[in-house]
Amino acid sequence: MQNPNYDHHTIEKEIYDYWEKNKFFKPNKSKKKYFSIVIPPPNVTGSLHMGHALNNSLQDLLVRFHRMNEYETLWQPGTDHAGIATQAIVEKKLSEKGINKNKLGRDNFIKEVWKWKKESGDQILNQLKKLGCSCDWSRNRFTMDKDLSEAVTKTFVLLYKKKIIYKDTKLVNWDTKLETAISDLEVEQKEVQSNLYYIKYKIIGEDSFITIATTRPETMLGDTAVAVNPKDERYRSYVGKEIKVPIIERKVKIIADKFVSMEQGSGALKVTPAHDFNDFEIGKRHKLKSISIFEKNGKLNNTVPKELIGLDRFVARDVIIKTLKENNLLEKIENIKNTVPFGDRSNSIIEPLLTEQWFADAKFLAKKAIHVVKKKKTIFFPHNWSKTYFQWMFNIQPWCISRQLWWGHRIPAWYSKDKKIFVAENEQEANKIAKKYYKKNVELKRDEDVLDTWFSSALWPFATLGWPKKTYELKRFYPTSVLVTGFDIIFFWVARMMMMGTHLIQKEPFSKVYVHALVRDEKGQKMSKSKGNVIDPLDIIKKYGADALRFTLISMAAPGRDVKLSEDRVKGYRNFLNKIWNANKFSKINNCKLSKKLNIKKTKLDVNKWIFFELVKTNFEAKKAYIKF
Amino acid sequence: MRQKKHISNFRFDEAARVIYQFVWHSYCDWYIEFLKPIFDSKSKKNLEESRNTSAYIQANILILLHPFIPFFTERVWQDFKFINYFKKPLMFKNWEVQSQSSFNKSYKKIDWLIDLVTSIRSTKVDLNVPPGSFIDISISELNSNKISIINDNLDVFKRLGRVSEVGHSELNQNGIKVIVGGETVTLYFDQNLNLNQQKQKISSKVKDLDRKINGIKVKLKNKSFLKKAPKQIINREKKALIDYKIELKKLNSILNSIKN
Repeated sequence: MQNPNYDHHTIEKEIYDYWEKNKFFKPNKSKKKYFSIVIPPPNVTGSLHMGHALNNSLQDLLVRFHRMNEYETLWQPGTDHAGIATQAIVEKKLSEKGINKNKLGRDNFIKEVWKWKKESGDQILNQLKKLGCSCDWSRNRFTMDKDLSEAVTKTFVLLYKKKIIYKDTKLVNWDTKLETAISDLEVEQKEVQSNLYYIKYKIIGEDSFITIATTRPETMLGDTAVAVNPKDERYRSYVGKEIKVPIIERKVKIIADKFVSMEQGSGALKVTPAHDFNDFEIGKRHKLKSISIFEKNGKLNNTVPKELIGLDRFVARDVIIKTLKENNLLEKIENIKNTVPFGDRSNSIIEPLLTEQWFADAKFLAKKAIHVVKKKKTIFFPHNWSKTYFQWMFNIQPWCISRQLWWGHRIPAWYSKDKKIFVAENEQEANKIAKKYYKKNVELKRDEDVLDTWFSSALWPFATLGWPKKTYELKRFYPTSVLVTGFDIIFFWVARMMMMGTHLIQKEPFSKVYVHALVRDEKGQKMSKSKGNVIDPLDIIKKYGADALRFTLISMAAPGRDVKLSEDRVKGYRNFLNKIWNANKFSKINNCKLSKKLNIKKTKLDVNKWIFFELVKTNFEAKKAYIKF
Repeated sequence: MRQKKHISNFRFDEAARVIYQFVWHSYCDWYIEFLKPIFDSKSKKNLEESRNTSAYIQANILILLHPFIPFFTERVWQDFKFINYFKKPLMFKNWEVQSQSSFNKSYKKIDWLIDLVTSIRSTKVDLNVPPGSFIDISISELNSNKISIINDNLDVFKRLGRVSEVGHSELNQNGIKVIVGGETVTLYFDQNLNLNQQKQKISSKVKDLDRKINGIKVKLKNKSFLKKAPKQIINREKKALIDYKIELKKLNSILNSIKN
């Protein structure tokens, strides 16, 4: 025989074209039930990895099952503009050509990003097609599309009017290299070797010192107190006294605060409200002054002694340590292991910085999002994820939604010369409101910042269906049937969609959230480039076909268990396909055909009844996996 | 219209497993083997029924597998022009099959037959007899119900079990009794097969298994092992224990049936 085994190479493309040409992925209007999924939009910068392959194989499985069983089925596809990631890529591309972003200017830079998107973005969509994903591509959306941008602006204006969105000066994770605030998700906590410096602060009017320990001695320039634990016998008599911060010679108070750990370092804590999240809270409790000592690029500003102004934070650290040594104020240096926050795009150490940013009142938004899960309108699978969800939602912090980037949804706020804020859906509108307020035409300047990428992703399940317009799709497919997602983005994405959906549509965005595990290597280790154990789904598809990969991933996706993938497994399931292929050849040779005369009830032979009975059993068992009535 | 309230199970691994089992074992390993003698025969009626049924099963396998392996199934669906019968593209063919409860009897019969063939095959392995060799059997101890199962499917049974003669009385030679579903069948091997030698071999295997089983039992009673060993290792030991016990039971029953 010419071709003893199944050959996927030519077939897969042909078949996919056939499906698309016949528009099989479009929802078939049905009077009965519906089934809808919105894809977790991959980053426009992305390329298909095994995690995507698992995530999308599961979605396609569900979508195809329901489409076959006469549900009106929509799988809504699209991509995310991935603000910081995309901006970083285009910036790098330009700088390789010797072009500086700032010289290019904002508008031209954004044009370059769009150009890049047209040329190299969306490659992941073609990769999803290779996997066999049956999304309705005619409805493909991008978070920066006109419609979606309008939805973003509308949401901002709406929430601003309700005072859910507001401006505030707060500490944020600041990336001094990219010069923007970044979210917790974009911060990578890494364990590194650091020096722990023990520095002596002189008590005023006495001949004694208190020693404090710090890994970031330069921040002492912003110290506004020294804190000890009220239960700490060693320091009890010092509380209330004044102490001198070395180098700047600032007089600050010794305060008592329960937050201070008696075991850590010397038990005395320097307090820098402007550059440390814990210190900021202590500062609020004791009404301390916050002194910012850094510029946005991480260099020291003009609040510090003249000789230090303009120095980079790490250069300043060396200078300060040298000075302390010379003045005999450095007690000792210890080498320790500690966790330090890094920006995941810039790989630069994150500096908590006091800046004015836009915030969303997440605590308020979380209320309804908690309620719908409590009422089981949204159900998590496996169920224990709802506990994690509640835990996070109850402790939710204000959400910093502004980013100092160019690529993204620009904040629809305009400022007059006297700093009055006018929030509106467009410039015309803003001018109109300002005119009404000032009773004359005034000049307005638009906010330079853009919104956090997760702000637009939070609207994904309804903005892609047409919201704020009252479309057929929004009415028919919302709440979506299920969200299929990895656990790593439950908080950053799932929770935010829940908050926005329950607030803007008054209804949960999904009836179910199916949380799948990670794909690891066969030994259970995380796949990573440095370990060299990454299995590329595109290689596997080329070698064994998309079907073999899909079947492997799906059969290993047991709830709550990581998928331990090896090429041998895929090979095994590929053999399964060959086995069926050969069985089909047997049917062909023996002229097995379905004729209209088939009447199952009248089957006579035991073996035929037996196989039919087996089929019915299998059909029932398999269906149970999808649906339990 | 209100959406029918349902709770998804999300056990796709289970769905994959049952479909895989059905396709690989029931359909490919057994059913196709059952079909071969039918396709070789001249009975027009049986031929037509079997061609129809096998094509119907084949189409339904594609339906069950489509969400998992869409390209492959679509290709075969088109190859066999199943659209002409079902009037629908595979992507829109529902999963309905009509259950036929009256088929239950036949199902049990064939299931028993499969168990019998499996038992004959594994006995050959235990006795070191080439799997392809033919043997005679006696079904004198079977009830009429089971006898008719064999008679109704005689060709298939002989072919799959590698049986040359099915006798209704015991032969005057050494046989081995196997028990399938509570019913006894006697297997007669080649005269050259030295049963005593086999008996010794099996006895030494039994001793070996006894030793292994005791070893694991001791381990599983050891508190510090249970405390320190990783869960996977403990589970592996527990599973091995079960497997060894099943093996032991089988060998013992063969030993008992070898008459001296």
